[in-house]
Amino acid sequence: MTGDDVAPSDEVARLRTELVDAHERLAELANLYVTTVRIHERLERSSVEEAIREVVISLVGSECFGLFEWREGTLHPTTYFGLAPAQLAWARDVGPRVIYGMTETVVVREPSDVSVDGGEAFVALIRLRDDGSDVGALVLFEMLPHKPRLGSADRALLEVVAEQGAKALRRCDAARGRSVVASAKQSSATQGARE
Amino acid sequence: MTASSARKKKILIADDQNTVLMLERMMLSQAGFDVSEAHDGEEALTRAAADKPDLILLDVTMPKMDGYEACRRLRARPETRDVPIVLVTTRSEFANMQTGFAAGCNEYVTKPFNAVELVATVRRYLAS
Repeated sequence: MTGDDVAPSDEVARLRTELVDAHERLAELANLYVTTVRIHERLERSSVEEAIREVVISLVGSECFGLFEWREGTLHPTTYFGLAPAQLAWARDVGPRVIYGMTETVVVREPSDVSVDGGEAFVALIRLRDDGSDVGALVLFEMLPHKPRLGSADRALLEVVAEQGAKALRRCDAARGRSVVASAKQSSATQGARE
Repeated sequence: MTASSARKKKILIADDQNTVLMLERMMLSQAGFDVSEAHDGEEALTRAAADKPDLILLDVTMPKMDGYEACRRLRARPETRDVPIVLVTTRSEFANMQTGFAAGCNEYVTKPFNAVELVATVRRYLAS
C-alpha cells in the first residue's frame, strides 16, 4: 500500500498517536524545565535541598528518600524524608560500597529486587557528580503505592537532579566560602582601623 | 465575542511546594488561564474570597490548614459553594479519596501528575 492508498481513518489514528506522544513529551519537558529552574533558583543550600525534596516527592513520586553527601569518605545525610533508622544506617554502612561499584549515574531497581538483607535496599540510586568528582548520592528507598515503578521519564528527571543538584550544591558552598573569606577580610580591616 | 466570554478563567492553585506551584502556574498560564496562588489552606480561603476563582486546585498536605478542611470551608461559603475543587495529593488510599469527596471536592488527582492531563481536567470542568 502506498502513501496515497492510506485510508483517512489510518491517517487520523496515526496523527492521534503523534498528538498523544507530543502531550507526553510536553509534560516531561515541563518537569525537566521546572526542576532545573527550581534547583538553581537561589544560591542557598536550603533552597537547593528544598527543590530536590519537592521534585522527588511530587514529580517523581517517593516519600522515602535521602540526599547524602561525601564527608571524609562517609555518606552524611544532607536532607531526607520518611527514612527509618535502618535506611539511614544502610546509607552510612552499605551505601559507599554500592556507589563505588556503580558504573552508571542512575541505577533503578525493580521493586521485587529491593531487599535490605541483600544490601540492595534502594529503588533508585543517583550519584551526584560535578566536574568528574563525586559530591554525594540521592537514594530513593520506596515509591508511593500508586507509583510502583520508575519509567524512562523519571530516569531522565533523576539524571537532571543528579547533574544540576551537584552543580548547585557546589556553587552554594563556593559562594559561602567566598562570603566567609570576605567577612573575615572586612572584620580584619575594621579591626585594623580601630587600632 | 462578548466581554464576558472574552474574560480569562481564573484558577486558584494552593500548595506548600513552590515546585508544584511553578509547574501548575506555567502550564495553566500557557493554556490561557489567569492564575493566583496560595501556600497554605488559610491563604487559599483568603485568596478565594478576594479573587473569586472559577476553579481551585488544592493540595491536601499543607501547613496551617490542610486541603480537606479548606475544601469543607470553601463549600460552606455561598460564594465558593459551587466552584469546582480538584484535590491534588500524594495520598492515593481509598480512605483518603473518601475523605476528599466527603469534604466536597469534585475530583481527586494523585501526585505525581501529568501536567498536560491536569490542564485537560481543568478545561473539562470549566467547559461544563
